[in-house]
Amino acid sequence: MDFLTPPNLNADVYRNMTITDRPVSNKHLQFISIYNEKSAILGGSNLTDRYWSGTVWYYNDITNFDRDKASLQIKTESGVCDGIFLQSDKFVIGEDSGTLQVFDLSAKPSDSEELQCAGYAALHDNSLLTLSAFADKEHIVSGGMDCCIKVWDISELMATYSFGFAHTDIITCVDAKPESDTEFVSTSYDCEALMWDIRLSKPAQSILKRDAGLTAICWSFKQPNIVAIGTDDGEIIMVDVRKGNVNVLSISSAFSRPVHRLLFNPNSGRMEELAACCDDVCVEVFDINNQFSLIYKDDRHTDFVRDLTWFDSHLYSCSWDTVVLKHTIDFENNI
Amino acid sequence: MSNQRPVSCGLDFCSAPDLNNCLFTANSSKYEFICVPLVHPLFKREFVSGSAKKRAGPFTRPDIVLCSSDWNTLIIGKLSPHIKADSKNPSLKKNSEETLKQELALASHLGLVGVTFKLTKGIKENANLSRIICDKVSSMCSLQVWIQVPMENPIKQAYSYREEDCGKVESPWEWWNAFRIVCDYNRKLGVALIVSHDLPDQEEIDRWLGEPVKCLIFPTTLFITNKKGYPVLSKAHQVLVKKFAMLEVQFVLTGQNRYQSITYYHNYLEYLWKDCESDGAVERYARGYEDYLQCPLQPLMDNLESQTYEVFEKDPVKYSQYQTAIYQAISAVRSKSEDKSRKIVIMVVGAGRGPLVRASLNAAKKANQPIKVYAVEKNPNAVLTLQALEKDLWEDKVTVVSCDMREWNSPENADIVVSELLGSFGDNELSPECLDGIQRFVKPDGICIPTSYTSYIAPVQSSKLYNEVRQCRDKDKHSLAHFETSYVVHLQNKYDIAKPQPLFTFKHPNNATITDNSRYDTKVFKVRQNSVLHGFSGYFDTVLFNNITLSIKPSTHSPGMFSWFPIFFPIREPIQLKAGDQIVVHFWRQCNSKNVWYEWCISEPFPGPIHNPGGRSYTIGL
Repeated sequence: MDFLTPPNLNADVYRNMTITDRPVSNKHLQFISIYNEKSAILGGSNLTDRYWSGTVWYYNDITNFDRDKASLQIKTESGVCDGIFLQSDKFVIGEDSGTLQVFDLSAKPSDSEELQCAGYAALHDNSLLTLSAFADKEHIVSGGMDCCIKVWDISELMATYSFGFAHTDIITCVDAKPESDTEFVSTSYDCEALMWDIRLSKPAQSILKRDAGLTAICWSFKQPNIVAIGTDDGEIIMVDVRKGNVNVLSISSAFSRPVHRLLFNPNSGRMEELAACCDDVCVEVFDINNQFSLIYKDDRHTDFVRDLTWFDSHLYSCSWDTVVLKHTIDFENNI
Repeated sequence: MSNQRPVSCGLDFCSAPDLNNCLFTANSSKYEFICVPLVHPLFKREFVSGSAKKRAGPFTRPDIVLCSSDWNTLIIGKLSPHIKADSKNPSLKKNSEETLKQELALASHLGLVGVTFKLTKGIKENANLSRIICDKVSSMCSLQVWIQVPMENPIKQAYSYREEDCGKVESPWEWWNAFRIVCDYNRKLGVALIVSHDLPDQEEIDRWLGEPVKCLIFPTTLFITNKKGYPVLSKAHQVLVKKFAMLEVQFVLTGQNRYQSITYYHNYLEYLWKDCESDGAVERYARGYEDYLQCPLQPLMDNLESQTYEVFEKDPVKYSQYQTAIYQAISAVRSKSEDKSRKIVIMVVGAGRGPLVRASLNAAKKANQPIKVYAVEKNPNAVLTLQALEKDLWEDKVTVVSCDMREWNSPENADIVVSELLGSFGDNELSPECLDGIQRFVKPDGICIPTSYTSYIAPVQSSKLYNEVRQCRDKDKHSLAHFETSYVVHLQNKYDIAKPQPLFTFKHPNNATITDNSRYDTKVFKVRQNSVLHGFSGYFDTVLFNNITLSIKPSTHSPGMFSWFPIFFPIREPIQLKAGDQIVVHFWRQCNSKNVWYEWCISEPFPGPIHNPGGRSYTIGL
């Protein structure tokens, strides 16, 4: 006969369970990144479970993002916040614990592959929330809850620059300028967006100040001086960041919830498309050339959408509802 | 009795993947408690509308991961960083409010000692947040709220990366000050001061000493490596720690571990703490009395107890100063006297259990001068002691007189009158009135020891004392009585807004034809930086004779003397002061045939009501 738990010992039995005694689901998907058809990563955390750990799944086929279809997976001690590719077989993740980890896909003798931690660095003093790679894919920029921005040399795994209190509040997003190895932009809850150029002795310059927290930023691929900035008021603001002539081009109220991620379509024919998600279930795409008109809207997700990625004219989104969705944006009839 | 509290240092975790593990890590590295988020810092919740509002499942881990005694003693809960209760976005504001309430309710449920969050802005952006916090701390729950405030405004560093100048920078103290005013100085609110790399100027640091600072937060980036490879703090930061060690602060370490073991930081902080241990006689005597309000003694109206005498007699400094003064007075009297063999008459008035009688006898012996001592004491129980000493030790050199000095008819006049009738505020135990009573028996060229005494006052900021006074409310007295009473208190958690200034002076013997011991004076203090006035600290100094003095005024405090703690005169409402303001305060010493009392009021920067008018709240009985 099985041993029965005395009814008053629930708490003790539960408390004495270890992490190995129970399945860990990592259901809250935090980021998705697709390098090519044969290389993609998906990150998830346990935000409400007893253990706030994370998992990164590696896919060598992007047709199905079900977790059991992943070719490889790695567990992380704390939750994962962001992940970016450097090469098809090399990527970097940022963790709740402030740790930055680099992973390599290495071929084992038996022709199978495995994910190997090529190095890690715990230099952020609070959760590392946002990552972006420079054009050389050797350097990246990171930002976190410690209000610090760091520029990293990945081969050395060293922070070549560290800007403590780059902002006065949590850094919500950083984005490296396309085709640049030195310039990036950042946003923060402190209501300011900054443009940085690490070649300068005074590297930072304010590009936007609002009376709402700024929560997302991304560069346009088409016009190298345009950035889109999201606010916690749900607005998306287009800013021309040319030196000496920084000015706001447009402000649109896109959402009623704080913007979470913004991402231009890198596809050369459709670079005016800006994908956005917020603290809600919807995924929206706007045409910035056409008075910011909404050209796509999807609310199939049932919980907050946390990340977006474009690949080959499709948009992919991942959410805390455990689902990855593929969106096909068709100019004519999507709404 | 010298056992100072051991260092209490907590460890902050930015994420707590496994709570038991966090506790284990902290515990095995000697940290006493941990600061952890109660809900995952990224887990935003939707309370207003939409599909996410229907999100199923828990919002965080359950209480049973720890036993309740662990929750009760080892955990400080960190509120979610995405809470923006003052957002202009209505849904974000609403969600933030609900999130905050949910987390506060959870903290109460778990029975935590406290919760903590970072203050990053002024009250303009935090009014709604402070309202919710105020609501929580005003309720019955015992939850404390530690508000993290950076010592330096981070905007300074942020602008160091930019071309333009950041202009005038608001001190984060202003954020805290406004926040706690809105919360009506609630005593459950405390400051968790984040120690910055660059320290603000001295004056600004001192202002924090007048605040309820519960803990100092040390980012690991603050530490530098010493020659042996261990983390240490810079000289300036060490001085800071010493200043705060006087208050009952705890430490919290935050940030990545940059050494082989996180214990190293604890070891160093523990070492610093022990180094701060001040173990002089004064500190030993005063321990446990920090910022504890006591009603001043009224030795004239009430007879002192044996224990009180015993405590006073322990002071190693006071009586030796008296003895030197008496010795010099004897020499002075003798030098003027024609008959060198004449016995000099010394009256010790208020002789208590006789320490000053002994001092007189010693001084005479040293001076090789025959004397006659009258030991006058009104407390019949102390007289028992004097009589025993007279019989067995002093013999015919001393005459014990069991009588109130004001009523005594002395058979002869005194060359020297010695008394110790001073209170923390000099004249507040009615030394002037008592000595006036004996004046007629002092020879025309006689000497009084003390010869003079002066009270001092200084404006002071101390929300701790303000709260202590607020708590003192006595049902049987006038509703404002506790704000119109002076208190004897070992001042610790305070900031001196300005230096003490002399107030009332009394000189003896008082040969004026009409004695008037009432006094009135006005003092003007310059305010050096924005601060809050909670009342006035009072001190005194006295010239015993010639240049022999006693003082409890901080700048001239007699080394090693512990007989007197300062006095504190509260004011009803705290007054917000701006740098450059003038505080103009009026003090009266009023007398009638039965009582003496003080009245005080402020006329600048804002006129305020007279405190203790007519002695309605407290008087000193004659």
